[in-house]
Amino acid sequence: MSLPNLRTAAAITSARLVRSATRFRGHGGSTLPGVIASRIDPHLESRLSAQLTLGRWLVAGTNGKTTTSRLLAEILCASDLRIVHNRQGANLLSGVTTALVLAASPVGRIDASAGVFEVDEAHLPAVMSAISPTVLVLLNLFRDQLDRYGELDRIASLWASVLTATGQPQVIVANADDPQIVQLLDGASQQIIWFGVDLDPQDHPDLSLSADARYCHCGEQLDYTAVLYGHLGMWRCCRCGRSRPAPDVTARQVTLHSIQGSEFLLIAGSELAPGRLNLPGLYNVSNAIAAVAAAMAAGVRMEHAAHVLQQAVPAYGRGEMIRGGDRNLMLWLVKNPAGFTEALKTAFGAPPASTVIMAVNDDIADGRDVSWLWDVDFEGVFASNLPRQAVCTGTRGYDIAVRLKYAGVPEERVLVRPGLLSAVEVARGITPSSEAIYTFATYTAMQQLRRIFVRRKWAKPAWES
Amino acid sequence: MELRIAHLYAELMNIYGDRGNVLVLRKRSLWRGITCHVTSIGLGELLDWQQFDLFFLGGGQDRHQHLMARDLQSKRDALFAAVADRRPLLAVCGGYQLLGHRYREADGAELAGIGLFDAETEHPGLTTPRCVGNVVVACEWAGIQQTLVGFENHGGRTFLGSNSAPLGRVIAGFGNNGKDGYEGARAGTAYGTYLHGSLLPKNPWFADHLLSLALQRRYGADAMIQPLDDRLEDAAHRTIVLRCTQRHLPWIRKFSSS
Repeated sequence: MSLPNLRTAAAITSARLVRSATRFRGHGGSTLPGVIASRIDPHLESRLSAQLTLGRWLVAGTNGKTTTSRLLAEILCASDLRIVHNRQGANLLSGVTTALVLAASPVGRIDASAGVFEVDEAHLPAVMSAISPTVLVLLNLFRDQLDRYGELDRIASLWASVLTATGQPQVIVANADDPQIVQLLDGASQQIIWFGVDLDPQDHPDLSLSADARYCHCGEQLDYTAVLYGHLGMWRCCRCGRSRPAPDVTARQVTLHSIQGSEFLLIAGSELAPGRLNLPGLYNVSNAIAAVAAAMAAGVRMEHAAHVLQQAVPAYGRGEMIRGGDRNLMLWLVKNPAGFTEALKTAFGAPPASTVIMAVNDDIADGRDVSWLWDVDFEGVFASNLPRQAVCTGTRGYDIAVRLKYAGVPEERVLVRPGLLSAVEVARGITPSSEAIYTFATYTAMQQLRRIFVRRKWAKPAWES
Repeated sequence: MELRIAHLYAELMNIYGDRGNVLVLRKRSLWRGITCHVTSIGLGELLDWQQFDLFFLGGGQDRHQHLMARDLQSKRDALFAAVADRRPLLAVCGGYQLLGHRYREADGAELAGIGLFDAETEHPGLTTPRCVGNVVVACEWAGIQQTLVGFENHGGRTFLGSNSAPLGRVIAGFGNNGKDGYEGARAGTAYGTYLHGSLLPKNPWFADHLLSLALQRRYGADAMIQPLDDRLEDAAHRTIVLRCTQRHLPWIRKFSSS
């Protein structure tokens, strides 16, 4: 074997060993293998991804990356494409590298023709440079972990400059409903395929408490005829005339069925197809049409994509339902005000009120600054439907308890149990077996809960779901 | 009794959950049977200061702060008059910075403040790490001996002149500039701070201090507010104080967190 091949073989074999070792210890092994492989054989990910000749999709955005990339992956797989996908959600360059490396044979051959990778907002430039995507999907930009990224505008500028500087990729699939996304693409030379949800203004009038980017770049406040969620919707600026571009792929006549999902009409040009989704919430309709538009960019037929959507089930922690002993638990990963608000609206859209577990940690991956909890619209959600009991847990269990108190939850309904295990036990103890426990957890709290559920065999490990 | 709050630039300056501060003031009034009205005063809108008992100004993104700075000059006289009349004012982060004399940005450009606080802020440049993390501050003034807890996240470093006192002494965290050991500013009944969290939920004593100032100015020294059951808020407060003041190795914390 020549030297480069030896290095590649060593990198890939080490990565596999590392993955087995971390799995043995109960962790996902979705990042470390890639880190090790890159140390041994730098730029391996570029050589591996170049083999994905049919296409390399990158999915970026604050909310919906995991769901959208999973939907896209399923649509492409149903077209008999073998794909590489960082399915577990490890979305820094190390996570993308891990997915590529673990899909490769020891001599560095990948038996796949396409790749779908979700990417963390701040790491988009690095991943784009490493794997040269053919299609970039830009979902949305929301305030996320302020202490990690600084500000929203900084991420938008970062994206705008890397897209202008490189002129890559050829095709961008972008969210017409997000004024931040539309404005950062001003002056982009790439081909843009817009997606958006056409809403009836009467059904969706209110601007939620958590809306961020409500201002046009010219300084004027934006006008909305209808709001999808957060600052997404049918927007325009009265001063400079900037407005939501007409989507190329859209969903119309949306009917929501609470936690069961939704129905809508998919439209692209003159093509029509019925859409049905088993994923809850309006925000998932947006994610779904993003996936459809991204697949159509590679020639997949809309009808076919719509058919695949109907079979989709919620991804890990996105309204995922698990059976915990004799109780149903519905799990929601919450990361920012818009996402948490939408998860709450969806969960509480169907009475009766039940037990909730609110697990808030403040590790780096959760965001050390928990101020964002005060921008979640608990008041709006609880106005029509209070939880019967709220079990608050995690390193910031008291913070979320105080938040709930000020949101109008009577103190006798708020229990604080900082230990996650104890919180789960208490929640099970106070919930009738016929009712679900809605669990909202930040990133590391969700990981810790997951390990508890796996130990009890209530759920499969994340890498198997 | 009634409390009228002016929430300045509510739409523009709300990136760090600062809306929570107004919510807390509103709820703590409600729970005492005090009617509370909150009015947003935005860009280009007149601030009729005599119509309000308490003023709040939050933090925001750089782009929004520019818009606010220009407009703030037109509200300068009103804010000075309000504070001279002993009406409480709370300003957080960006709001706090622009109530000083000036804010010098990373590229050297200067944003003029209104000089309500004798303070200047400068941004040392984008390569200098920001001041980010949990903060504990000791407040010892006006007969008060309390701690404030919160979370700071600022690039700007603020330095106080001799005409404004700090809000408190830093026990944990960077504070105004990471050098002089002070956090925030006080000038009469105006308070500025870098503390998010939001600030007031975990520091109910400070929320009540602002409420008392507002109500006593309007209704006289007899306008006392009764204590509330703050056990939950105090537990949240203590958790941060303990965490920030205990010196233990990270691996011990991991063991004790499950």
